[in-house]
Amino acid sequence: MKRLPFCIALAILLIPSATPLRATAVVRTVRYRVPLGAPYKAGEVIVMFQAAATESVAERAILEAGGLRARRSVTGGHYLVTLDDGVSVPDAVARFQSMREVEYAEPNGVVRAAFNPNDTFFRFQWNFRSIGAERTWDIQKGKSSVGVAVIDTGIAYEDFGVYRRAPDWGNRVFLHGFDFVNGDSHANDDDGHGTHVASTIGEATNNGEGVAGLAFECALMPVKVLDAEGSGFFSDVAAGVDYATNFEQNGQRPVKVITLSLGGPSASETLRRAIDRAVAAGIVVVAAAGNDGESTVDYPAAFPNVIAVGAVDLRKVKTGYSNFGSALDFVAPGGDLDRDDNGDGDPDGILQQTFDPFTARTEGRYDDFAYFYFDGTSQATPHVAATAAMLISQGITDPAAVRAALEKSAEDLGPPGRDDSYGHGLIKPAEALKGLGFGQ
Amino acid sequence: MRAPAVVRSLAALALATGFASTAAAQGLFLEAVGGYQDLTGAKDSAKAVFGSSGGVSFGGGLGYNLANGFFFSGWARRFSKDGERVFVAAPGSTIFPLGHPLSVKITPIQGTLGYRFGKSSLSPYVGVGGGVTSIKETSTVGGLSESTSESKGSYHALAGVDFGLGSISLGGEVMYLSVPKSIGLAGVSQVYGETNVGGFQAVAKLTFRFGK
Repeated sequence: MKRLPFCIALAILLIPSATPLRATAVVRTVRYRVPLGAPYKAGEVIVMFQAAATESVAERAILEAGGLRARRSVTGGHYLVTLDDGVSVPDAVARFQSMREVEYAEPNGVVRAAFNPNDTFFRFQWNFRSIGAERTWDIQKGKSSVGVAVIDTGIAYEDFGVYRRAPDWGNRVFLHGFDFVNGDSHANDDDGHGTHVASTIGEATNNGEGVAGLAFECALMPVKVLDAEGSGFFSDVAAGVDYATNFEQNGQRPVKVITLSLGGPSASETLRRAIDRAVAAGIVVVAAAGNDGESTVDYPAAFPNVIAVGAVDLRKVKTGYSNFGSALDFVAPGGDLDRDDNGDGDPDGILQQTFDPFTARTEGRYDDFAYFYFDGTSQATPHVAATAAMLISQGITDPAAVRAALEKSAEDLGPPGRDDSYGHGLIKPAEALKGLGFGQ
Repeated sequence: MRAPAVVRSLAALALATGFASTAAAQGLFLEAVGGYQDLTGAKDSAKAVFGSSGGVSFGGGLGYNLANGFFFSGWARRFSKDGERVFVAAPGSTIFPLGHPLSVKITPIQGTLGYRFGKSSLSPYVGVGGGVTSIKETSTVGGLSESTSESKGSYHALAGVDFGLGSISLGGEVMYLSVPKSIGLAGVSQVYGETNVGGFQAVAKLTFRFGK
């Protein structure tokens, strides 16, 4: 019986334009420029009142100076004042400084978060900064009890035959995977795509080398359903989803998230049912919207139970290649190799470890590891999968609740509210992990 | 037949403190209260972050009894409770505790105009009034503390009874405090559509009177 291949619209197609970034070459030749935005946060100022000033005096002064609302620091006693529309930061600072009851007022300057990983090339991971990863890591880094199944071309996770374990996994926990292309239990990557996707989620972080991963303390499961050409079949993808769903270890089912950086234009009932089974089992399923720049989202991303992810570039603008439409749920950094908006001399792709796909194709070698810029909705998707894994690690264990938490916390882009180009907006993991207070 | 010693002691105390005087004697009074407060107007929100909607409230005030039975007073009470931040997608859906500590302090500062019925030692009263209520919320997430503070207009109605023991009276009071539009723009209160941190209070009172 002939099996119908489906098109994988992902970074595989973009590999010819992907830029290999060799560790040694980066150190010697790439000049890093600090991406300068505004030196302070727009619409906010910090105000310290004189010790004698009562709260009612402070509240009146804040209103007079153009403040909309204010939060008082528990420890410092200063106020973080949100300004009314039309009131600039310099104007507000000047107004506060002219008041007798004010000790000082200053802009809310931009600083780096407490957790600043020391990975050599972390500074090139603009994608993590754009979603607030450093603040996220102050809250959550993932838990090894939460597994993310990467259903893809496999992962370079073990030394087996001609395959080698990628160097920057650290002590990452890999759950026992499966290779549905070759029918064995060694889901090694022979393409490079799956390793790159998995690295966005779980590359070793703060270990002084390479780059960072977003949920770098979660476990990964390699499930190979795509061959060395990046092609596969719905039947294998469905089998991979079922495998991850039913996988048991020590009486537990550790896979809590399935990420699918793959897709095609047609739906599959077999795959839809497999995904329904996964979601019913409490697993969050995330998939790429597709890279055709079309107004319909690929399948399986377009299934209602799947979180569909589009791509934005460094400017937080939807990329030209990112599919869009009514099924799109969120956007995440997918990069654009044709742009260099931060002017660092490198293309604005997503930088992660994998082996050189050219060497793999031409020489059959899977040990030529480096850090590569890829772009695509394939690269955006693992950002959302990693965020889902961190939300589950924090205690939000229901797929519908994970989706809702992502929705409530997303940075609205494009027209106000949900729209077909950006869905609910750009994911903001730290905001999602923060949850809800009583009235704040 | 001799009365039990405890009864004799109470009788002696009553005589010593002027039992015959009413709880409503004209003049200044100082009161301290403590009891239970239910966040009736934000029941679901409170249950989500605290585990229950009630807690301890305490405070005090100063007032003046007029000769015609009316009195006015000014008072402040404090309700404080610790909980944790949560995630809840919609009303009725599962509440997921996230482990980030959270603390809420609600402090109404109110003025009451009331009327006491009768002039015996047992003195029921009712009152209404208004003022401002301060709401402070502090939570710590990933090592960073955030605090919000705001004051909102509020009003109340109360009823109680005092039992006079000379310059001291004991009593009980129930009150409903309303703080409209004080929450509901963010947090779980937004999810549940609750906008009022007010609610019922039931407190015990100890009053010191300085009048005639």
